[in-house]
Amino acid sequence: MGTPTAAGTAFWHGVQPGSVALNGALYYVIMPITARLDIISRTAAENFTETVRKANARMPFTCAINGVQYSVSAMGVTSLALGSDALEPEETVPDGQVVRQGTVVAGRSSSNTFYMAFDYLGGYQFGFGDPPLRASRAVGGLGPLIIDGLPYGVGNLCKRPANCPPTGPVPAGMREFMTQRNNATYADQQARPAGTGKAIIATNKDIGRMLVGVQPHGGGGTDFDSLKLWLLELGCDNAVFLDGSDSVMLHARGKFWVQPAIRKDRSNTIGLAFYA
Amino acid sequence: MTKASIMIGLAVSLVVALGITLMSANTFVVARGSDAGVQIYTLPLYGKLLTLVLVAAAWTATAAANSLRPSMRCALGIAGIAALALGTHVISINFKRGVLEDHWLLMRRDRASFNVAEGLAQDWEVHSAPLGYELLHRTNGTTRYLFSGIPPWTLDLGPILATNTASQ
Repeated sequence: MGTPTAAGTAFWHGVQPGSVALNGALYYVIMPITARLDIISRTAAENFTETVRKANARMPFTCAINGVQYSVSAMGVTSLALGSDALEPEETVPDGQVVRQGTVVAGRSSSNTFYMAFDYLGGYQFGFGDPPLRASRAVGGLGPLIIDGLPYGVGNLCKRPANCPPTGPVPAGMREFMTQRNNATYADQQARPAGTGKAIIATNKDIGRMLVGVQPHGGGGTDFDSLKLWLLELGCDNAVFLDGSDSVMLHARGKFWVQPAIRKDRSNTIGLAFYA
Repeated sequence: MTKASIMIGLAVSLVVALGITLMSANTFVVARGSDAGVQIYTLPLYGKLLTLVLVAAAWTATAAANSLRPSMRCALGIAGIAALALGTHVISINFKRGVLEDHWLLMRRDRASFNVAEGLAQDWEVHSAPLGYELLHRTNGTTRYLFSGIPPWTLDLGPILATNTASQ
C-alpha cells in the first residue's frame, strides 16, 4: 500500500495543484500535503454557502467542502419543513466532534467512526474513534475508505492461509494477512446507487500530495468500491468520506463547483477549508 | 356539536393527516438531519397518498353520514387512524446514531442499538416472525419484536436486514 502505479505517479504530478479537475463525475482538487486545514463554522442564521463565501472573502482558501453528517433538533426539522429561512446554528449538531486548537468546538462523540486530524508538526493523521484533542484542527464522524494503508469495505478479507471472520474483529494472528477490514457504514454507502453524492479526502504521503473530491448527487458517477480502487491505484495511504447524498459541496478557485440541496444549505453548519 | 364545527374538525384532521403523510416521505425529516447515513424503509409516496384517500373517505363518512350507527362511525374513525399510522410507518437503520428506529406517526422509537463500525448483525440475530421480525441479542439474550405492518402496508425489510445480517 502507498505505492502508486506508474499511471498513479503520473496522475499526482500531472495535475496543477489547486486547480479543479474531473475524473468521471468526481470533481477533485490536488494539493500539497502541507495544505493547512481549517474549520468553516456557521454561527449565524444564514445559508451555509453564504458562510463559505464569507470565509473565502475573509481569507481565500484553495478549496472547501462540506463537513460531517449532522442531526437537527425537532424544532429545527419543523422550521425547515414549514419555513424558508436558514436554521439557527444551535438547531444543528454535527454527528462527530469538531476540534479547533485542542478544544471540541462542535459536535458530539461518535467513537465508532473515524477521524481526520491536522497539526502543524505531524501533518494529517487518520484513525478510529473520536479525534485527538492535541490536534490543531480535526473532525470525527467520518467513514473509512483506506486507513493507514488498509482498505475498508464490505466484509473482512484475508490472504491465505488466514481464514478471517467475514465481519467483526480479526484475531491478532491474522492481521498481517488482512487485505480488507469490514465496515458497516461503508457497506451502507456502497449499497446506495452509484450516483449518490460523495465527498472524500485522501492523502499520499510518499508523493506528498492530497486529494479533495466531490461527486455531485444524482448526476451519475461511481460507487465506493470503484472509487476506493482508484485511490489505491494512486497509492493513497489514507482516505475517508464525509457527509454525502445531496449535502455535498465543493468551492474552489472562487466559485461553487457543487452546491448542496436547499434544505442542506439551510441546515449544515460545518465545512472544511484547505489552504495550500 | 353543530354540523359546521364537525366539518371544521374534519378539515383540520385531514390537513394534519396530509402533513404527517408528506413528512413521513421526507428523508430529511425521518433522518432528522443529513440522511446520507440513514437507511429508510417506508411505503412509496403513491402508497401513502392512496392510504390518505382511504383515511379521508373513512373520516368523511364518520363526520357526514348521518345514517351510520354511532358504533360504525367510531369504527370508521379508528380505522382511519390505523390506516394513517400504517401508511406513514417508517423503519430506519440510522448509522449516524447506531440505532434501529421505528417511526409511528412521526414519533421515533429506538428499538435496537448497534455498533456502526460492525453493523447490526454483530450484536443482533434477525429472524422472521408473524407480521414482522424478531431481533435476538447475541450476548444478553434480549429480544425485540419489529412489526412490519399488515397487507397492503407491509414493509419489505428483507433487503435492509439481509445487508445487516451477514453470517458471523
